[in-house]
Amino acid sequence: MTDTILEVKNLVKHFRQRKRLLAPRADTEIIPAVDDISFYLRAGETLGLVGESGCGKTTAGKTILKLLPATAGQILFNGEDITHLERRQFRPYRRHMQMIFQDLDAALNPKMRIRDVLQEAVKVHSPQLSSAAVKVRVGELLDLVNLKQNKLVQFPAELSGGEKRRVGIARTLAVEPKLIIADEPTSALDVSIQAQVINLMRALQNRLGLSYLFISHDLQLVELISHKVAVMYLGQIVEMGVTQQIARAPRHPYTRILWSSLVNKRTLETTAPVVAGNWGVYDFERPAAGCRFASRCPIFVAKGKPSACTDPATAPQLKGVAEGHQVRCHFPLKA
Amino acid sequence: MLFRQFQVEISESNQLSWWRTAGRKNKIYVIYGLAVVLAVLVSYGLGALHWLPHDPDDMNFDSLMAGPFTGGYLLGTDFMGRDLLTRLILGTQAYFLPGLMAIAIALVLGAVLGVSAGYRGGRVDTVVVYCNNLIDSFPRLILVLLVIAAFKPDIYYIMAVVGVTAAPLVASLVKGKVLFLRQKNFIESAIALGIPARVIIIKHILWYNCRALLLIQATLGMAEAILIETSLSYLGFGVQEPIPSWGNMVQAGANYLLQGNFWPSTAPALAILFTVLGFHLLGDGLNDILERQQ
Repeated sequence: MTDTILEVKNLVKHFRQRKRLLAPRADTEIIPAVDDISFYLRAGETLGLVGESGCGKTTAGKTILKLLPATAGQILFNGEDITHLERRQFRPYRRHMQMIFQDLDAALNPKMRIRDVLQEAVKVHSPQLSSAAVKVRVGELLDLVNLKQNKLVQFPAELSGGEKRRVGIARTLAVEPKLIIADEPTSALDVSIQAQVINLMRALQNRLGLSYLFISHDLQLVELISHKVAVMYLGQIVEMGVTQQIARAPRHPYTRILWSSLVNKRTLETTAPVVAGNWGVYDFERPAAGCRFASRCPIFVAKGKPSACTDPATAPQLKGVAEGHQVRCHFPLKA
Repeated sequence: MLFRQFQVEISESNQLSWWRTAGRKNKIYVIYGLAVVLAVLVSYGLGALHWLPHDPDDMNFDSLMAGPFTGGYLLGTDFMGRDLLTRLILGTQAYFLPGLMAIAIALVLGAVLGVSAGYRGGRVDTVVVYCNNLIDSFPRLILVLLVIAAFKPDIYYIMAVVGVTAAPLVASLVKGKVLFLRQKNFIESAIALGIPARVIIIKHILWYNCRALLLIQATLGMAEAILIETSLSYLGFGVQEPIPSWGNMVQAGANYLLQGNFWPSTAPALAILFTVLGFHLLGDGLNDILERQQ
C-alpha cells in the first residue's frame, strides 16, 4: 500500500488575460495560477493542500484532473504519464480519479432526480450493467454515504447542504475511484455537518483504500484528515511535510502565520514569535519577483530587507530541512 | 407508521410538483391551450377518418348561407350551401401535418445551430446571429411568396420555409441557454465523471435543460404556422378550393360580408382566433410554469 498513485512534477498552469478591454490578442499578460508545483501521493494517503483564497489550490486540482490544460509539467497516475493524453484517451482514467467540487450543486444537474444522477454515474464506466444491478449499486452508494432511500426521487433543490454533499460524494464513489481530489468539501456547510463529512471521508478511506488530495483552507480539518500537508502561496508550494511537522513546527514564516491565525490558538509557543504583518490587499495576479512572500514577510523586514529575497536570480527554492520536510525560504524558522 | 406514510407522500408529491406550484392564471392558460390542442387533434382525426356530419362538397342550394342551428346544420352553411362545421373540421387537415413539419424543422435546425453556436462559439455563432438578423429584417410572407413563385404553391414548401425561417430564433434561444449552462459547474463535473461530450450536450443540456424551452417554441411555432397558412390561403396562394382551409373559407365568405352575411366568413375567423390564442396561451403558461423553476 505504499506505491505512489499520483505524482505531479513541476506542474505549471498559466492563464492569459488581455491587459485592457479590446487590447490586441498578443498584448496579454500571464497570470501564474500554478507555478511549478511538485508532490506525490501514496495509495491510501491524504495530502492536504492549504493556502489562502486565490493561491491556486483549486486550479491545481482541476489541472491534475485535466479539466484545465496544463501549461507545462508532468502528471503521473500510477506511474503513467497522463499529461498529454487526448480527451478520448483520458476518459478511461477518469473512473480512477474523481473530484468533489467546492460548489455543492456542482455534481447535480438541477433538473435531474437524485436517482438519475447516481444511476448515470454508475453506468458511465460500466454500461454493461443491467438495470437491476444498477439499482442495487445505487442502493449501496446511498448506504455508503448514509442517505435515506427516499431521497432518490427528490430534486437537488429539495436537499439540504449536507445531503447535497453526500450525493456529490456518492456520485464520485459510483465509479469506484482510487484517487479523489476533494476541493473544499466542507465549505458552505455548518460545523456539525463538516464533522460528519470529514468522518465519512475518513471511514471511506479506511474501507475503500482511497487516496485524497484534500484542498482546503480550514486548517483544523486539514490537520485532522491529512497525513501530509503542502502549503501553497501564490501558485507555489512554500512548505511541505508530515502534518505534525507542519502544524507543530512550521519552518516557513507563511505557514506559521497561517497556523497561528487559527481562532482557537493552541499554545503560546506557536503564536507568540510571529505576528502577522500588514495583510493589505495583495495583487495575486502579479506576484513579486524573487520570493513571492517577501512583501508580507516579517522575517524579510527583521533581516533588513536582504536582496537575496527580492532578486529573481536568487529566488528561494524548495529545500529539505528534515526527513520529508521541505521549505521554500532563505531563512527558515528554527524547528 | 405515521412517519412512513409521510415519506411516501413526499415522494409522490414530487411527481407533479411543477403543476401544484403553478399559479392560477397559468393553469387556466394551460388547460385552455390543451383543450385547443385536443380539439385540433380530434378534428384532424375525424377528418382523416371521414367521420364528418356532412359531405364537405355536398351543396344544398335550398339553404345558402344559413345561420347556425338551421336545417340540421349546426354552424350553418356557406355561400354554396356546404356545411360550415364539416369544412371547419376538415380545414385542420390543411395545417396540421405541415405545421408539425415546420415545427420539426425549426426545432431540429434551431437546436443543432444553437448548441454548436453556444458550445463551440466563434464562427458558427457569428453565422447564426447574422442569419437571425437577416431573417428578422425580411418580411416572411414575401419570402414564402418567392418560394411559391419559384416552385409551386404547395403547403409543404410553404411550411418548410416557415420552419427554416423560425430556426434562427430557436437557435438564439438555445444558444443563450447553452452559454448560461456552460458556466454551471455541473457540466464540468459531468466531464470529470467521464461522460462523453455528445451525451452531455444531448442529455444534460438539450433534454434536461432545454426541453421546456423547445416545447414552448413548438406551441408558438404551431400558432405561427396556422397564421401563415391562413394568410396565404386568404391571399389565394395556399390551399385551393374546393379543399377547405380556414384561410380560404374566410376569403370566400368575405365576398358576402357587405350583403350582411357575415357568418360564413366569421366562423372560420373565430376558429383561427381561438386556435391561435390557445397555442399562444399554452406556450405562455408553460413558459411561466416550467421556466420559472430555474
